[in-house]
Amino acid sequence: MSFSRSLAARSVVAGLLVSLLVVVALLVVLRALGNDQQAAREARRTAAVIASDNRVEKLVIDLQTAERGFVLTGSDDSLKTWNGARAALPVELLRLHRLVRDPAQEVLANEIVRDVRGYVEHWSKPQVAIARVDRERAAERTVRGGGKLRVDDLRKHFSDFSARQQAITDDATERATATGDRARTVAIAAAGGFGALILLYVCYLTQAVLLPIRRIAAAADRLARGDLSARVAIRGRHELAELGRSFNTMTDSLQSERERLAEAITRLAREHGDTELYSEFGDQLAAETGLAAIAETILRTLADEAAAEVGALYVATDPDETRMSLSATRGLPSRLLSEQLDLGVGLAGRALAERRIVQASHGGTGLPLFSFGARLVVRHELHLPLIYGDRLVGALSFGRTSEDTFSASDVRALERLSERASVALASALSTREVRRLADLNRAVLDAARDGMVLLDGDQRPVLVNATADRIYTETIGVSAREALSLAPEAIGAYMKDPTAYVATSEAISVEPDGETRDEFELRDSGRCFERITAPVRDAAGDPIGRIEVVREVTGERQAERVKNELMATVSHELRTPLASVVGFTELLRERELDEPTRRVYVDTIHRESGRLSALIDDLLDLQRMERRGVELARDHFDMGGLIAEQVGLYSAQSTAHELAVELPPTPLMVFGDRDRLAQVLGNLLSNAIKYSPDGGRVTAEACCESDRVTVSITDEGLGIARGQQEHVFDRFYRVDRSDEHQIGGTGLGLAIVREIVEAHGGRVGLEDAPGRGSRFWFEVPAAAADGAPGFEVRRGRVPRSP
Amino acid sequence: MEPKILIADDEPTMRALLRATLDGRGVELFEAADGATALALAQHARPDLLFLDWMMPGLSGVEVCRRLRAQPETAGLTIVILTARAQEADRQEALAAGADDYVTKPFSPLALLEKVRATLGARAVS
Repeated sequence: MSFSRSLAARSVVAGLLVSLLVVVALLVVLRALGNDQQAAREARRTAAVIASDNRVEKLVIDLQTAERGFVLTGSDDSLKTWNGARAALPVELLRLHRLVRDPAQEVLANEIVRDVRGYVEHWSKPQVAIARVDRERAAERTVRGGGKLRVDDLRKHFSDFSARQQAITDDATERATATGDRARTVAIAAAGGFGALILLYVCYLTQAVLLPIRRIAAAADRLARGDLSARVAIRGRHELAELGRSFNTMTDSLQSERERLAEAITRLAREHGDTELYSEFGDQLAAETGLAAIAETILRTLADEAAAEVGALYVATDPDETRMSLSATRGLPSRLLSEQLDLGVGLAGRALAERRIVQASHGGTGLPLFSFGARLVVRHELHLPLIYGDRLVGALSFGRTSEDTFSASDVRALERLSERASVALASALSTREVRRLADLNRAVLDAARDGMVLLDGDQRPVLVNATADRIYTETIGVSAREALSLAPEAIGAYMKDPTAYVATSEAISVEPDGETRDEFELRDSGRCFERITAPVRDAAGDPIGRIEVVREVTGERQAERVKNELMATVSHELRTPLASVVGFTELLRERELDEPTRRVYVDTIHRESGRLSALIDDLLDLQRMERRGVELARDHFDMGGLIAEQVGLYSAQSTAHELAVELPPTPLMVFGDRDRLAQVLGNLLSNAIKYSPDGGRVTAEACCESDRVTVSITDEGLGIARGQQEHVFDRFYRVDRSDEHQIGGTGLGLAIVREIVEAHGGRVGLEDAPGRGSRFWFEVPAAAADGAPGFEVRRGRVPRSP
Repeated sequence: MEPKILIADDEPTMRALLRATLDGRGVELFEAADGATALALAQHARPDLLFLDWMMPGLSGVEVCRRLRAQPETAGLTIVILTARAQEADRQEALAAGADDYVTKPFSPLALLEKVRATLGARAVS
């Protein structure tokens, strides 16, 4: 708004104008009053002039009278009066001269002064002077009237002067009166004009300010009473118009705000309804834990919301989210729907792949479906992906049979509910995954060979695997949790070395950071366990507790023990023949011996060297087999023939035993390494002979059962205790028997037997022979019986060698 | 009276070697092929020196040693364990059982003869 249009400016200008007018009027009045005063002053001065003139006239008359009196009488009184008048005259004349302003009057006054002076000097003074001397003469002169003429002339002057002065005074007075009248008129006019101006100003103010303000106030009042339609009509561009416009703008905005509020309230009310549904949906989902139940709830609620008669929910049951499985259906039998939904396949697959809602309508004909016997025609489809974060957790498909399409608000409501559904599904899937992983972890832990216990800081078990429970139950008869609540002494009581167990257990319980490892052996069963403990920290490095891993090492310890023992045996077996070789060699070197003795010594050395050699051969053989596996040179041959051959060989070596062979009439063809199997037979026969008492019978038998050839060697020895039977094929294992007599051998023969037979894909075994003794057997796969035996098989009892 | 030496070993060859080493050296030799025989002979023949194998059927050499030490009449008998068990723990066990000496196989027959001479002292073996 420009200044000239401002109401304030206008008011100021109007105010200034009024003030100016008032000042002008006042000046006029003051001027008039000044004139009036001047006129009065003039009148007063005129009166003073007249008075002075009168006094001069009176003095002149006094002078004339006294002069005349003196002349006539010569009295001193008259002279005194004359002298007084003469003395007063100059003063009075000066006053008169001073008082006169008017130029004409001044001329007149000058004439009067001149004439008076003239009269005094030229008449009166000389007359008095004459009178003093000669009163007669003086009287004469008086009669001649010289002096009287002059006085008359003077009196005429005085009269003229007075008259003219009076005229001037009158004129001045008249002028002053006129001026005063004019001043009054001006003053009255000014007062009137002033009042009118004020009235005008008031009117203006009323018109320009008061009325608009009143209108605004009235509108504000209406506004205050809630009438938002109140508006103010003020034209112009001044402040009040501006105020009015502001008011109107304000009410406009209030009105629109109220309309918006009303809309918002309506929307809120609607949303409140939605929220209730949403919240109820949330509650329902929260109440369910199973994936299937959650899927049902989701489909039911969203299908209701979508007013869809048919629907299906597919859930991402596999972790890579590319495939969804049908989890719930509505209005359709599930067999009508595909069990799987692949990403990008079909409308629902597209919704998933593109992560957006996909809609389709089927036009007039619709998509006919058979729903539980009834025929449905789906007119509109809607497919909605369920997304949680970045994860696709499922897909919803809905079908409507009505003509109504899915509206934008339907879609919004579905989207809103689908968020909740996605969260619930994701959570259920996570729970399922977590449970699956937990089960997996549990299964792995339980399947572990090691017993595992996680103890928290207070030594309470947090985790116990099944193996730990089994170990504790087997060894001390209580579960791991119970066992761990026992004092170390209570558990130590089961140990072979309770003190060591207790000491280590206590050391572990006070060891906060280090790893520990110890081993203990059960007193009764001899079972050995290795115990390893270590602190466990979480991902952040904070201590969780301590894990105790208990592993049974009975087998390892036993194997070690067996190995150590048998190494000692091997050492013994090696050193014994070696001692003979070394000893006899030394005797041969150091002593003078006769020939027969030397012969005996050399024979002994030779024999013992052979023993050594055989032992070393067996050891190396077995070691090679262990290391590289048995290298077989396979061929087709008749096992019966090989048995007969080996029995024949051993019969020739031992005359103390009876060896028999029992074989079926047909060849026992096998595909194997003939030399290796000969070694097997040799070892078994040699053992049987060794462990049979002299005169004992050793029987070799063989038969073919379906696809296997079984060979057995039965002796009549002492037999082998049941508990030891399973170990006889172990390397370095020796049957412990109290009546053990000198039995050669390396303890490796049966181990070699097992290696060779197993390399052929066969088995070895041992059982008690009927009556007395043992029956060692082995079986190897039979070869196709196409080849004839390569040699004649001897049957029956093997003839003794001579 | 010749010093008596008892040889206890289940290996005939070993007994033959010891016999070949000691025979004709002015000692009387006894032989046992198992622990029980060794124990019985030690008590009855009262040998001065016993060469005792460890690993014998029945009673082991160390057990024989222990028993002999437990009996007053054989407590002073000089016992030399002559064995193929060469581990230090074995030696300790044998000495703990009361053996005077521990000789591992193989051994030098002549060195053994020296030991015998030293042990039997005055009744020196020729």
